[in-house]
Amino acid sequence: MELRRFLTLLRHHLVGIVISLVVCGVAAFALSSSTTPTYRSTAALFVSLQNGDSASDLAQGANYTRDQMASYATLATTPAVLQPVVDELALPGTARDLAHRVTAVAPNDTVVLEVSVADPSPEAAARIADAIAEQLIVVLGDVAPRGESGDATVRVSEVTPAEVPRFQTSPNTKTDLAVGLLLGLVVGVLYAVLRETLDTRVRDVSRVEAVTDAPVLGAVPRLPGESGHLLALADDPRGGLAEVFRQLSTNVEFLRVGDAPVSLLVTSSLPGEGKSTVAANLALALAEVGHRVVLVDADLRRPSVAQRLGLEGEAGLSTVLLGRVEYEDVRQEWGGSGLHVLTAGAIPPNPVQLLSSSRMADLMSTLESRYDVVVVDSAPVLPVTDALVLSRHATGTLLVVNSRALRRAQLTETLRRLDHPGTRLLGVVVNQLSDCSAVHGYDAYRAADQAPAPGRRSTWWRVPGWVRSPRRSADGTPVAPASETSGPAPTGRTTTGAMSPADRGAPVR
Amino acid sequence: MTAGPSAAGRGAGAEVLVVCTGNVCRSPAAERLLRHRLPAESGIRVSSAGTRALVGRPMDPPMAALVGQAGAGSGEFTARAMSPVLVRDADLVLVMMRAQRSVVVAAEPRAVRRTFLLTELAVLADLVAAAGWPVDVGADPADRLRALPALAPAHRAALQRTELPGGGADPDVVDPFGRPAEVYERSMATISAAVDLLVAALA
Repeated sequence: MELRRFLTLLRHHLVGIVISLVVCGVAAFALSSSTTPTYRSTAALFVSLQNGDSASDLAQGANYTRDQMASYATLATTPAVLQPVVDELALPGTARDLAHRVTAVAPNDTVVLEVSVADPSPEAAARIADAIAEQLIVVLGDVAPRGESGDATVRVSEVTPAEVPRFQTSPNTKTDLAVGLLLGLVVGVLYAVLRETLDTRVRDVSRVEAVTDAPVLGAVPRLPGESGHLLALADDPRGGLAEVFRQLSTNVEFLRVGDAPVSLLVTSSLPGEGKSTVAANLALALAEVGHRVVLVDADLRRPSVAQRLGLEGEAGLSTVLLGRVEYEDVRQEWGGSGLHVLTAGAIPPNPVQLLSSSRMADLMSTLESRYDVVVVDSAPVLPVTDALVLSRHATGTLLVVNSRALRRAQLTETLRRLDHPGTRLLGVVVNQLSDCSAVHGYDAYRAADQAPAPGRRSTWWRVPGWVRSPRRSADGTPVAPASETSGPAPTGRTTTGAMSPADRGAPVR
Repeated sequence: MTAGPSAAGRGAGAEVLVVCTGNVCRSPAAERLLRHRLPAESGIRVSSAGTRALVGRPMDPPMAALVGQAGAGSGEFTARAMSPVLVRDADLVLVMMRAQRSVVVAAEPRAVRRTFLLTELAVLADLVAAAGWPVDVGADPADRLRALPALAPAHRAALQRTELPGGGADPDVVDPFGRPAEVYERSMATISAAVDLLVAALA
């Protein structure tokens, strides 16, 4: 996984990682604080052999002692030593229990034997260590080989009496906290990687591009807190979202060969992916620039165009297909740009039959003869066959993909179904994107009135217009605002729009 | 772009059909207020009908009282049923609720462009008047009324941003039938405000 993707992943799951860090850190701290503190006290014994006075005797004695040190150390934890200590100090438990708290070592091949005792009380630790040291001297005297004089050949003396420790040896809260936080970080990152691996949703544009050759014609950002009733072109015509749809309409215009009329089927894989929003805004954006456009609601199962536009939906496509009226009788009009609308009409029991009828084919050719662009909103592809039936009548199909809801497998299945001789997939509109910077050119966008003046480079650190001081010419006099717009055309029409908070749509009444 | 049957020429007058459910409360009130507030010589004929009319009944007394207070309660009233023929003959069909608009349009689909919610049409007419009536439309209220179905759609985008008569976002006029006096008053106030807005726009 490349570093950039990894960092993006961490950013997406930052909350989870922080929670994991906090939980593990707090748990480690609590566990550490609730543990009974333990103190450790150590006494040191020096062991020597009393065997002759010559240098070689001494050397041999020292060697012998070193060989025996491991045995002496083991002896320190035997009941022979510990039982008398338990009895003398009236300790709770047996000698065996005490043995667990006693360690005896001879460090680094020396003849010094260190006996240390762990105990919740520092004083008791020291007292027990001293008592064991004393008892060890007695026992070693007993078990050591006797010399010719009958005296013990091994002499043991306590060189360092046990001291009362001032600091606890465990728990070490700082270390425990560090370990806890590290564990939290590992768990958090693992969680993020797992979530990402197991997340089968589309999420971003690159995953759409990975499964289809059809171009991504539009990338629509997700607007937190907005409902699905967005008519950006009408509600907030100068907003960023309106700009996104204008960009989409520009891309659609490129799909027209010459001045040939086009009919575009707008569909999605599942209900609720935003196809009606895209269809309505696309139709409005196309009408806005002077095309003769009709928006047809061919979703005869869950129509939404009429309700969205505030029009009556009871007379429309199904009324025409049933032969009750002519198209011209029931088409309506919406907005100042002269967009024509054919609503769905009453919901029929047999949508597929109606949509595959010859009347539908006739209607489509009638519409194509009267309009520049026919935008058809259809039912989704996966649950029903309506879209596939309709796509035969249309020049091309636009697929709307809700990147937050649709799974990659579903997208693949939709694309498989659309891969059909009568269907021409023109492009994909990715909806509900949380990270639109992934789309090329996104950052460069500015609304027309904030377009960079000629010669100025578009930079990410540019401050909002109201912060900027008036521009001044070389001689220091303020430049008239009109000069802001006299340069080359702003780039808003040819790049994709990023949303700034101020751009977000005003609420519908 | 032809609207109704009588869109033939100037000075031909205009037919307005007001529709509600029972034709005893809201639609008779709107009918009376329109007739009362439009200029006497306007040539606009107003009638009313109900989608599920209480045929033969007089106006609901609480509403009749409110209409009387407004000075518009003259003459007898008898409820009648909405029919496709009535809708077909009207230049403009005004309904109180979206559900009634659906019933009207289902009965006569060709009326879809001439059928409006009273509250929405009042605002749309106001927006049309504010933008200026086209020169090819006569200055006569009846001519303007007949031109409304063709002129109003251009202002639908603005309509969605405009507060409606009666306040708030709900385009429906509340049904007061059999409910407390306060609801009758609220219903009447909405109808009255919408009628005022419409009449002023036509003038």
